Amino acid sequence: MGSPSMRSFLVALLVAVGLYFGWWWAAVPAALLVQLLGGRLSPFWPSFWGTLTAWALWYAYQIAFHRGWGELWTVAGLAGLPSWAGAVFAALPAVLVSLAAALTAVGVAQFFPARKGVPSQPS
Amino acid sequence: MGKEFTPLPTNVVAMKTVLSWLAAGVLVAVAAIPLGPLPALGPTFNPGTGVAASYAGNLQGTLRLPGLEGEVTVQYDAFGVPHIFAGNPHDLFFAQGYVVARERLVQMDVMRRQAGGRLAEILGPTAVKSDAVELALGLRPVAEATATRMAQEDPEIFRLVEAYAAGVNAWIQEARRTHRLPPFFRLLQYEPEPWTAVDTFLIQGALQQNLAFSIAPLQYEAFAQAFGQEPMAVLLPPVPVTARLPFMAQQPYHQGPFPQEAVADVNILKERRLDLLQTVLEGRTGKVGGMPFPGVAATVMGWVDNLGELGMPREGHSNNWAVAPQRSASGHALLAGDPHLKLTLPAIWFEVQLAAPGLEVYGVSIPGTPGVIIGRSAHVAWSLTNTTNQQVFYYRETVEGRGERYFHEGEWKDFAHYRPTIPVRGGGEVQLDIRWSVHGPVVSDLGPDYDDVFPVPPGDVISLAYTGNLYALDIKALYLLMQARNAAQVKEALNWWGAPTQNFAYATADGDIGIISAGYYPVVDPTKGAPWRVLDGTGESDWQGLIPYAYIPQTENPPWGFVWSANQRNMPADYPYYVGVSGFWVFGSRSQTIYETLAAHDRLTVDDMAALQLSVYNALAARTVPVLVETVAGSPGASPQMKKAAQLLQNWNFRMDHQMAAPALWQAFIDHYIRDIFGPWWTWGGLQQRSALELQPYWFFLLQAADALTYVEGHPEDKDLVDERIWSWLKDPLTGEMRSVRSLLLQALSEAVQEMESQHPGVPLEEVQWGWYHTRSVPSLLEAKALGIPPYPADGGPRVPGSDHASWRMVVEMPQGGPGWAMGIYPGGESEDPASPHYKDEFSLWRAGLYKPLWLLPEPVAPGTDLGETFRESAFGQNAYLAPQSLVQKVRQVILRP
Repeated sequence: MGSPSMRSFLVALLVAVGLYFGWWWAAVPAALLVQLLGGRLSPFWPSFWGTLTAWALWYAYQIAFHRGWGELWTVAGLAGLPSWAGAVFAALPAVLVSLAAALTAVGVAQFFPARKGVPSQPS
Repeated sequence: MGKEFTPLPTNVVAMKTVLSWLAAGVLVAVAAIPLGPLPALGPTFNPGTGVAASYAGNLQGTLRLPGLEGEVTVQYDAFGVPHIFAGNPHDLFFAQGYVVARERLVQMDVMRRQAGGRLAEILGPTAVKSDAVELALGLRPVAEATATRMAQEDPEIFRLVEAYAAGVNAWIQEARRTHRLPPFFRLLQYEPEPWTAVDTFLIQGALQQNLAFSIAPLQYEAFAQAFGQEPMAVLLPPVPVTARLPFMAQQPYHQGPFPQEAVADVNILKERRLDLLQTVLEGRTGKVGGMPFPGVAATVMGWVDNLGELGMPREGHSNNWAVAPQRSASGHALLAGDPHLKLTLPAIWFEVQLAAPGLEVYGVSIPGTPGVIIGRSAHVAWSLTNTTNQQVFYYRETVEGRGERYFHEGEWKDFAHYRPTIPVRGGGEVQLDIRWSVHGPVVSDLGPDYDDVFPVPPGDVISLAYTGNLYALDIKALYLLMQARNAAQVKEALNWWGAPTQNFAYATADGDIGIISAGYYPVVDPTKGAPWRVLDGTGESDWQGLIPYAYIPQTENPPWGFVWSANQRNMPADYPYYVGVSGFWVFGSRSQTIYETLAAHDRLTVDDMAALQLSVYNALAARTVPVLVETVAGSPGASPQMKKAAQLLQNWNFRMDHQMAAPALWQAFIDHYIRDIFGPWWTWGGLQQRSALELQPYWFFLLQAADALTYVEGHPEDKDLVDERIWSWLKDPLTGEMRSVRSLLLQALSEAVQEMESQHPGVPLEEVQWGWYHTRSVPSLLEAKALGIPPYPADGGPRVPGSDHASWRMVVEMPQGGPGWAMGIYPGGESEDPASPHYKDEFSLWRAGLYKPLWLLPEPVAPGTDLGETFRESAFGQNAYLAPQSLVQKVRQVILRP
């Protein structure tokens, strides 16, 4: 589906529209979708994991400096969730952050493949 | 080595495309809609606008707030208590509104909605009943009329209320702009509306309702109809049944002189009436759509249900006292106060220091209202307890035809109609039509579904007259009180206080002490009907006026050197005015303990004040147990278990310690004792069928009667002090049998022992612990279990001064010429945000019986100053109840600029 530049443009457009309306999370599947439509099975394309990583970094910042865990726990408490469900809810961003970190690592590995080693000669 | 790229077949690509779109669509949709009780995960996890961004955060650095007239300095101490320094009162209250809203916006919004009858708008059908009750009582029209009138007649005070509202709105706007509204609003998908002066008066109305409103006359009416007027009058005399209560010995705290007749101040009543009947009262149209999330609605309603305690008072209440310099070890006047409002996280109180030229106070405020209610300046310290005189009177209206007119003062008058609309979230609305007579709203118009709230006689048209529906200038009274420099100015300030009536105990730096029970006392003619029942509404029993300020209960510098109140009746038997019958006041055992403790010492210290605030000595038990023990000893047929129980009680020191068995046995005994005496009567009268009329063993008029019967049993020489007709209540109306006090004592003790054995089989009686029965929890304001403090075994209980109900404890020493020292504590923290370190940081100190210093700073200190050092250097700081030094931290400073 279209050239890489066209796909990148489409991804950027979808991300921008999503963010404009506050639907940040729509940007992630949108990016993924565009990649898949382009016939690439690998989701580790920069536009996808870049979006997710940006979200993860931003979220991590909020968690670290704005007591985000506590606020999540507050939401779970106000919603009357049992402890286990509250823990799952509060852990969701952590799961997403982990996923983003993993994808980032894979993506980086794709861009900077390790050089093949040369076996040492027996003396 | 590269891979070869093989294009996929067309049909695979098509399928993949469809699945991809489908998967993406599902993912986007799922993240966009609420999941059960949870909000939509997408917006929730939005880093910029989601939950993680919603923390209000500590104020830092310099902030610009449009609306301020000058610079304001806010310094936060170790417990997050703001000390606000402003150049004028406007900026001071603006900053107070801003600072409080940052920490308590949810609490404020829910409180104003509850009082204003707008909860269903956000919570749905579950809140309609609460809204209907509040609207029927007229809180909203009264608040609106109060705001309108104050703007015209007291513009200076109104300007301060508006400044406070502007400060609240400054935060609401900032929070909306920066996506920092608390998660509560996200869960319920609405945003707080701008704060107005009406909202402040709504919260004032809610506080009035909590402390002054009562359905006791409706309950007494039902009891009198069941048992007869005279038998009920025997249970409800103006003063307690027996005069041998030690605290009555010095005629509570009113020294008189009184007028010969009950002269009413007619003008003040006319002046304070709000023109509610002529006010155009229109309903409000809702703006919130959709359905709430059931989990949140249920938790919030749990709290609202707790607010609706309109019946006769339970336990709790408040204490205060002041000690004159001649009775204190330091030679300085002392003041102690511990109000007992409902404990929640966040607390009902918000601690703050306010400082502007001519006004420097430290104390606790109610979020949503300007100023402090309990506190101290450098000149005066004061604390409140509830006076609990009768402030609601019910009238039976005589109506004609279709009920559009009622008969009053010789003519038929048209009812006014208040027709508010309750918008209900999820669709629909509920239309109310409440008639108003000259007395007030017709509460029977709510219908039979509200019988648990208003147990009106079937078929009657019942209206009520309520002091909370008069024009109250409580904020003006507090504003003047905060500026008072001596006892005379205290008295002048409290002349403006309206409802609820409150016992203001005070101590001044001049060494004066006193109590003024300020507020509205309606004057009725008790010869024209029993005011504690439903009165005739045709005019003869109307309020004639209010008790003139000069004659309300008050005392200053009594010769014995102390004053005190603990919700006991505060007027002597010869007080010429009807102010309520004994059932409106508490039993008096807390008052007795306070009186006896203060009277027993002539060198009272700050430690003595704290020890008394924490005392769990049960004076009622100390009065009753000797008679009970003697009865068991004189009963040859008493079982070994009964004798063992009597021995346990005999060895008791009457302290309600949670590890002791005797308090548990005592409490079980007294509950059974009340039920055994009066239960057959309630069954005979058919009263158990209506929830608001069920027999409750904590009702004070029943406790007083039971105490009188028991006391005379042990002190036959005092028999003449008790109305002999009270013995008629010993008859069992179901069997016709006349019972003896001793048989009832033995029966109740036997039942108590059996109950404890069945509840704890195999556990010896002496190993049962009071803490298994008596626990303390501090629930989340919104009743969210995970956000509250779970139950733990606690000392204390009903009718002891140092019960675990104290919502604020404060002790102040007022040396002449100096600002003095103060310590205080409450079971919570300044922030409503559970993630904040100040959500419950005072709780552990409160539970341990410790206090923290209350710093009344004369001016801003250098940021980073260790406040604890200066406090510890004072003699006051050496007392045994002060929090450890390790809790003291340095001052954080913020500047607010226009």
